[in-house]
Amino acid sequence: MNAVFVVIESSSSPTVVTPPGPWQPLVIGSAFSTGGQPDVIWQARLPNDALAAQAAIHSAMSQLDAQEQALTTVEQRLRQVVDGAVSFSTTLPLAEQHLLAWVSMREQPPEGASFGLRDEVQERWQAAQEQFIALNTQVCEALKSYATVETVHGSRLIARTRVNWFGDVQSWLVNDITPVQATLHHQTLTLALRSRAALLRIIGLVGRGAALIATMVASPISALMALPASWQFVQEVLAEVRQSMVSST
Amino acid sequence: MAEDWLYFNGVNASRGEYAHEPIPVRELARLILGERPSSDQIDPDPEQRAALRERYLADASGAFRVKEGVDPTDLAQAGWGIIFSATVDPAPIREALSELLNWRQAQAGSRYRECSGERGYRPGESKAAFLRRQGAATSGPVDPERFPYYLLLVGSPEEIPFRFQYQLDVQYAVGRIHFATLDEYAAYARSVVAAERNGITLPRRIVFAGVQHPDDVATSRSLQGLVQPLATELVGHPQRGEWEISTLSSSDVTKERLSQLLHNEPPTLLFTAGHGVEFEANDPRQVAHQGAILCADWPGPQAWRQRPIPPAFYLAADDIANNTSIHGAFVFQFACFGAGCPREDDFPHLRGTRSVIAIKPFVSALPRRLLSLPRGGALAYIGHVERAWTFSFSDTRGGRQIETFSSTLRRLLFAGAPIGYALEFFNERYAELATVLTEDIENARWGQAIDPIELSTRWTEHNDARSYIILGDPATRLCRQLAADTADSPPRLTIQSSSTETPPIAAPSPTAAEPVTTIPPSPSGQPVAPVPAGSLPPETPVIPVALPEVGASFGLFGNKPAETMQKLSTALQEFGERLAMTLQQVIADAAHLEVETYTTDAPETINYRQGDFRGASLRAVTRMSLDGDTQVLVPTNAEGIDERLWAIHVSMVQQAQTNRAEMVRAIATAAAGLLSVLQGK
Repeated sequence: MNAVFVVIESSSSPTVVTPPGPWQPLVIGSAFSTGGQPDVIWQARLPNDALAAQAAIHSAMSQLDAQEQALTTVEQRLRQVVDGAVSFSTTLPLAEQHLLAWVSMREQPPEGASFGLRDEVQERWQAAQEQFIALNTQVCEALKSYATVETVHGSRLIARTRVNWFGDVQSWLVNDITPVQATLHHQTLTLALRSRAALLRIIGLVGRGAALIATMVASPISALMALPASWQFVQEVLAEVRQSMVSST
Repeated sequence: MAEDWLYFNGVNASRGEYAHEPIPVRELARLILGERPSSDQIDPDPEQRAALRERYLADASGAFRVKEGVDPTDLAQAGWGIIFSATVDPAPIREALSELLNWRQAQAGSRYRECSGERGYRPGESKAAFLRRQGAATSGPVDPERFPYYLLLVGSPEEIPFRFQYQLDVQYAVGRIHFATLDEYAAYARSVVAAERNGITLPRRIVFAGVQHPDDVATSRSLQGLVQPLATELVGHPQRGEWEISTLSSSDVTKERLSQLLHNEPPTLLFTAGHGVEFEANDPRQVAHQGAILCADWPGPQAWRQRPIPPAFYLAADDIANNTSIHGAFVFQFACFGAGCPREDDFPHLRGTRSVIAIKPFVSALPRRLLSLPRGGALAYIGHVERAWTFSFSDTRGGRQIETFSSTLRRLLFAGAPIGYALEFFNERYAELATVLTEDIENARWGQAIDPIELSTRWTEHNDARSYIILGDPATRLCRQLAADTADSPPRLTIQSSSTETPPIAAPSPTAAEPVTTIPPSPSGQPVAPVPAGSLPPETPVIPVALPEVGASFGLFGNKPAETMQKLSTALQEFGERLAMTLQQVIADAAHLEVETYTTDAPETINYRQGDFRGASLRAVTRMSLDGDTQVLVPTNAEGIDERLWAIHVSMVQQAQTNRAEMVRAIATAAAGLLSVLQGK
């Protein structure tokens, strides 16, 4: 059995952003319960073999580490683009290529001949903008609710921890939990909470990135208009990490 | 008669009395032998007993610790390795230590080894099982081609037990580091590399600081039987060279004087002997202060009369200022718990069962502090785990046994050998005593009479010799001194504020005398204190949620610019409002943190979202207020405190504290980003 990390959300939005780390989003639709905002459930389903479970958590942590590390480079990479330190090149990472394309499009008159390029780029930014709105909605909903972190070891739920945004914690553990299982749950909790925090930090990062990108365009625009471009850039940086991890395995 | 009693170097600061009353040697001998003498009492692992015997025989025959032809003081020949627990993610610590790892890799070449993940130490593993997995011999001289001689353990004794360290140390040169934050790991790595690469500015000076309290036999003995003769021997030693050796008179070893020594005139070697303060397992000061040096300020047991011992009487980690530098120094502390504390006591004979003396085992805070000073810390700290006995240096018949100490110091300071190799004298003694003891106990088992005094002496000496450990890299050694003209200023390391790049080593030279002391924030996942109300990051404030007017879109969003911009505007507005509301609640709630732990047969059956916890038992609660008021409900079972569950609960509390601080930072970051959008309109 392979480890599976899912984040289960009730959302009215058809688009859900994948959090940093190993998590796969699972949308279960709007809940109409009377219990207030449903929890976002972060669930690690780990193999029964303790060493395999440890290895899965270790790999998940590495994935999150790599993505967090990549996020720390975003502003520097954006500044290089803003400072003109990069130019169009086939060796340029896609994130920078797409950003330069966006700026270039922005500089062209709307009536200029686009030979279809403009439409394609526009579609990309349209999607980025939708995703960024979805992220805001997602985080807004999460800010209203608790995070519940569950560890399933083998096929048994061994521990569940509920954390609110203010840090209070309630945990339910199986009576016969072993030290190894307790460690697995503790690590799952760490993983989930770090991913949740990273999701929130991405919003801040996109905001600062938008302010930087807005300075690249000759005609004055608001940073608000550059948000989708900034969001897209961040997503492409994260995609690079995913790609490199796939290549190295 | 005093000679018939054994004394411990430990004072319980919670109760203000001796941590362990002196015990008659005959009584100890009776307890050691018990009803049915068994060599399990020396070490329950037969492979380890065999390894100790082999080591003893090898030492007796003059065999070397590493295989023939290998110079144990040369890392290129002896090798160097680092061992992480298999149960933790090593990446962040590895990154923090990268400077040291790169340095050692360059020195050890092909004999450099990292053991982490599957190759790391597995819970409950013995030394022999671990070495087999590494492809190394489990006893006999070390072959560095198969596994390096110098081994640095990284992690808490909960992750890698002290017992494993003792076992491995019989064959290898072993040290350990465990810090609370990545910054501390990085600071230690920088200190070692800077000292070895650039030299140190500390004077060639050894200071002996032996405390002697009135009416206190233990410290009288440690001063007169260890400190004074050791200092005298080194002063008169022909290899002494230019070393200055001074001894503080016992009344001078006050907290103020010791603190002044460390802060203003640190020697290359500080040797202290006295009581280490000890606390009850449930005392909140235990982790921060256990093993701290009880200074001459304590007036002794008669005058103090069992009142709790205040921090003013002892030197603890929190007495060491952040801007202190003892870069390149070594510290040897003879005291109970100076290096660390196991979870259960090492002397079950005294009570018949192993008693829980700490909620979880830990490395003492004072050595951790001195090793990780950001402006240059000690290279290694040699101390004792658990209780130290007077038998470390004198037997009950008054004989002195300081040669183990003396040889170790001479090899470290006069011969310049790595500390792990210098401390082999303690391991030799441990192996010798364990072997002789095993034979004694076997003989007793078959009815042979054993001299109780000899037995008690050997047994306590054996425990003492085993429990001296190195905190720090075992390959560190006395570093060369900078030339006099560059050594006028105290040594300083420059700390870069960047957390994304490996900071370069700044040589401890006059040009680096003005340090940048900015310390990067603790990375996520590191233990941090709860954020007090009113101390939120400066960028946290109220978020203006009114967004700029949606102006012309310049065609950026297709043919529906106004609609698109409106969507973004609305989403951000809602986000800003929610963020502001959450921040308000976090600030209002920041003074409290509550952690509850329940147990149940089936967590999935608990209707927790509705607040219906039927079917679950509330076992542990921690409610913390930042005014210092903490309420704790400790889980119990038939045997008393349910240690297993309590340990889990404590880890949850730490996680909650970390998470709270991290979330405040994340919210602040998001808020700052939102402000950037607004300001960059």
